[in-house]
Amino acid sequence: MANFENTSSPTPFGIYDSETEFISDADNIVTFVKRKLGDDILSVELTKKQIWGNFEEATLEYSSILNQYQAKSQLVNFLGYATGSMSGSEEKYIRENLEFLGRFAEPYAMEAGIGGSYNTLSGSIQLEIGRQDYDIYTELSGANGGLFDNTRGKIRIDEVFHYNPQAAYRFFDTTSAINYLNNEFSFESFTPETVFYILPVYEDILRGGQLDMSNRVRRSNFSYKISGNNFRIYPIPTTESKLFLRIRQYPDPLSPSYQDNTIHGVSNMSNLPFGNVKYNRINSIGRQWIRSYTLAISMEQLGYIRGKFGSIPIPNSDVSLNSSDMISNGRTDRDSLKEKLREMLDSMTYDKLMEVQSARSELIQKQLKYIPIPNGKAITIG
Amino acid sequence: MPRLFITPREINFINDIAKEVIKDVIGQKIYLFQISEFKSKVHDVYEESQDKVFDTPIELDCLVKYSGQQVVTDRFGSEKVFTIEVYIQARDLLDKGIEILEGDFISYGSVFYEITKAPSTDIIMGQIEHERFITISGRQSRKDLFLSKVFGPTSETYTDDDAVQETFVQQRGFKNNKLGATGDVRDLQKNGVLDTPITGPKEVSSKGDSTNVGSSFYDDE
Repeated sequence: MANFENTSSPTPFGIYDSETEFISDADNIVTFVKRKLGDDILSVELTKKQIWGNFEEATLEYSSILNQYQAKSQLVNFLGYATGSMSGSEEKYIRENLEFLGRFAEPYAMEAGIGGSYNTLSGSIQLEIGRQDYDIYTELSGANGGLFDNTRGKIRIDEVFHYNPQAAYRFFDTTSAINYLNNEFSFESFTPETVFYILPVYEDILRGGQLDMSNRVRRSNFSYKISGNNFRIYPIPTTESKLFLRIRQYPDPLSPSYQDNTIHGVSNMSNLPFGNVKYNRINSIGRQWIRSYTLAISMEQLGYIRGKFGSIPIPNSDVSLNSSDMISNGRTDRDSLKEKLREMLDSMTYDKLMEVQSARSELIQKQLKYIPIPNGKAITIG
Repeated sequence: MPRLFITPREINFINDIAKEVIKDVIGQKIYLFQISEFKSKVHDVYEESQDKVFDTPIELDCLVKYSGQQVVTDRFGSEKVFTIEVYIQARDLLDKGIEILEGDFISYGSVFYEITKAPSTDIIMGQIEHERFITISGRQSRKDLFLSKVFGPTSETYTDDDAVQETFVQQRGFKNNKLGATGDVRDLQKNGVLDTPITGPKEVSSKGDSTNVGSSFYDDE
């Protein structure tokens, strides 16, 4: 009688056909299924290949569900990484990373001008005497002429600055930089406007921000206003000079300023490089699930076979086969098995495990509080 | 039914199911005594055979519609007579190469019947080439017309060894079972569509009853 090993193409996909333990279990599963469905007494109209096909499907189903839950736990760490041959990362207990968080923080960093994935552009507008309005889209230019791609939409101005101020002045006050420097170099007694406060360190940090703000807000004689595509300068220029602008455009998410292959890497569950779980690595818990699932779908399949005819003609009568029972029971068993497996795996995602561990720690603490400890023999905390 | 859906494989499936019901579940049987044309002496004038000679009886699995004893009364008095109707699967007869003719005899229990009619009764799924079964109508033969050993089961009132059937053995497409050659053919097995059952034919017998007062299902290999 043909067994799994000497049958050509015993399963539809042949995914597990070369795994030794799958091969040996495949022959046993035929006996298991047929005996459960009553073949010892009456025929079970299922071929071996059908049962092996169901065995493979059950294993693939188990693998798929397992990978789905693994994906729930691990997807965030794989986002952006190479998909490779779409396998090889399954069944791994990987190290965590924060790339996902960093990536999401980038736009905020870019807004704040302290990072991001896109370059800002610098260009200049030639101010003319007596002219206040300049079209940013046509008159802003770089050293070599054109500055940006007009097709990429709206531009955003980050900074405006110029050289050659009309006039500059700085007045001393209690928070001036000069005062600060004097403090650092022990010149405080020689600075006439100094008030001798002893200040905390954070005052220095705040001062840094204040100096930056001072430079930006108060240093220039000019101010500007954006109106549509016009850049309006105040006051009306009285000399010809250049105004420099640092701008950026809303970026193309597929084309940052550097080569970024992670854009084409893992983006969701469908391209996670999770291959099929190896049968040889499935433990007894999983294998029993696979056997039961194989039986359930075999039962359903037998129901479909027997259900091809409403009744079978026998001499002078008809017999009705148990098709509907087979289909109904098989389907119920199949769905129940999947549901139970999902419930079990739901309670085992990494998030859930952390919750459980956290609750457990709290419970341990709670229990410890009720343990009587002799005075002076121990120290309890919490 | 359209031939698109009912192919020879489906016909085999239907026949195998029917065989399973008759042979492996119900287990009714008759014995067929076919007249040997070669051995029977035919009267020169009437071209009839007064003393018919029969071939070795053949055990046939079937469904029996038992009518019981009827009493027929006429001007000569009353007569007790049995009639019977037997349904036999056409494919099974074909497998065994048997053709049942009017005039042959059958026995069911302790009574012998002369076959009065044996027509093909139906076809499978409207396909004319696939006969479904034949219906044998029989009338109790006269006692002086037919003499043979009686094959059991017959009646609880008798004390013969085979008067009560205590053992029923399935066939399940195996050439032989515990009782001998079966002549059983299951086409899906024969054609390699299905494998043979994972274990052999099962039996209901006294071996399955630990109290040894009856018969029950016996599964020891």
